[in-house]
Amino acid sequence: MSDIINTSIIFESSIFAAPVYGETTLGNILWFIIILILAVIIAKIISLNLSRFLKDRVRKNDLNLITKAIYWGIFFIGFLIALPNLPVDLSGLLVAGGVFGIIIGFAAQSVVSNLISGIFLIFEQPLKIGDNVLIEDTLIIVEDIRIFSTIGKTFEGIYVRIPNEKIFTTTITNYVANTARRFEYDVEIRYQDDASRAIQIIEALIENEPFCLKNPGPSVFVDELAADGVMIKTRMWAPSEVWWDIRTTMLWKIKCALEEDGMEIPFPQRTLWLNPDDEDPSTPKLIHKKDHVAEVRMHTCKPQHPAQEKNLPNSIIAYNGPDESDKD
Amino acid sequence: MYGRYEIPFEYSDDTINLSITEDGDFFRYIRKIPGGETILKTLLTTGSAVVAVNPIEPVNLPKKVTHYLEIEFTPILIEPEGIKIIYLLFPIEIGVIVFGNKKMEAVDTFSFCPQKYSLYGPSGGGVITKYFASDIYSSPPETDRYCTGVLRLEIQNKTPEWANISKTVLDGYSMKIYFGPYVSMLACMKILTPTTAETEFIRNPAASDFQKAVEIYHTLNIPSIKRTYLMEWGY
Repeated sequence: MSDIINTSIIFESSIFAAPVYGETTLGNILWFIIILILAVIIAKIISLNLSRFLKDRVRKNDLNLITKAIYWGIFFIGFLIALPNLPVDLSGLLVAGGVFGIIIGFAAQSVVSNLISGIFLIFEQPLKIGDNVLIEDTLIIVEDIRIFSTIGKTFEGIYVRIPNEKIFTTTITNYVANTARRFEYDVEIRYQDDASRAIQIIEALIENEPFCLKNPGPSVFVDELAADGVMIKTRMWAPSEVWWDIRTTMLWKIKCALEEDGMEIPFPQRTLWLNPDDEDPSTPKLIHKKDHVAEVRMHTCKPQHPAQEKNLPNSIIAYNGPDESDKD
Repeated sequence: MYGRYEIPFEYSDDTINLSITEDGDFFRYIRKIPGGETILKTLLTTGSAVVAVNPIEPVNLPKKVTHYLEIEFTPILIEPEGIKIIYLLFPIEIGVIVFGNKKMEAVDTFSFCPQKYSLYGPSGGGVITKYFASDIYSSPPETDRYCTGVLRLEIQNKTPEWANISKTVLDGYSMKIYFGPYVSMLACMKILTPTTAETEFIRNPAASDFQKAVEIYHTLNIPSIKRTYLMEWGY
């Protein structure tokens, strides 16, 4: 208390109260300087602590930008507080500043929006570096989350930069945010194959794969009696970290295991029935036996050599469509 | 096979052949398992390194995706405020760890036990666990010391209700594995509420003739702080 009284006595003494320029006293100048020094100290403390807090969360360049913005922001506020001690007429400056502020505000609208979105993204963390995410229609692996934008690359290795505002306001599908994820296959076998045996084989295969999770367990069942075969739905869970590797290997393992057991993936097939006129129309006649169908198809699927052009007699001219003149 | 060796060394039995042999300026590590793959690695050392072969935390193979071990067993009921000891089996992973200049590194990790993973808790917040299904025993069962170890689990029911327990989840960062006539771990599981339990390892061997295995999951050893795992998604 006595210090405050002493300080006020010092500032009210004749040396500090005497005007040095217009009505400005030495005391006013001293207050101006003291407030600026205090603003610098406060700005330093806040920016330093912020820098420590965000050190592991924000890139170094962005961190520098943020701390500098905070530092100069606080200094500017201190400057405005200190300014009334000096006989500066700010009315003209305020009008000009207001107009300038509006122009800057319009020009920097998206920049500020991206900045604010970037700060919220850093704290909310809907995506992390290395995550596999779908942002609108762009599927990327996140490589960096910056203050204005997020950088990623597509699976083809193409560089993608997405403004943070867009990420913040759009739907993000993060494929690896959860610990585990499910994937599924449709495995089709022929009607003559034993579906329950196929299910047993697939379940055993999943059981032997370490990364197909025990809990939640797999689900293998007959899903559809389709046109060409029996559809077996196979669902399994895997750790998000490795799910793609498992997803790409398990289907072939299932196919090989089923084939090893004599089962086949069915081809599309049709059985034709014919009613010849000379026979009783009520008794349809099977043209091919069922086993024959695949054989016939195999034959028709074989690559055919182009038909040899027949040697026509000289008197006959091969007709290859209308000539250009005929078209006219 | 378990123990410490000065390099070069060689160990061989019906199931495995391990060796670190000198090859010019290098040391070659070779692991051969009949009917399995052969692993070759080159070590650059002056020859003063020591190798430890012992069971390690069984959460590394086939790939490090978790540090939790889940053991599922046939459900047991424990009376209110009861304390009971059961014995379970756990899978063993064997580590070949090289020491040099006071630093250690796992050169190789292998296992003779089938591997399986599971999810403990919901997919949105749960944890991936290394999974093993075990029977329950009232005394340490006979095991193959290279394939399965024995977990002595003390279950303490702190609730005033009967508790139905069918699994325990343990954190690899606090595992204390000992080897002797068999491989052993001691742990405690406290039933706190009808849905939560806490697991913790006990830093004691099953008997005095057991040796402590070298751990590859390290934490700061602060004696007053116990590392526990809270099973918050049921037991």
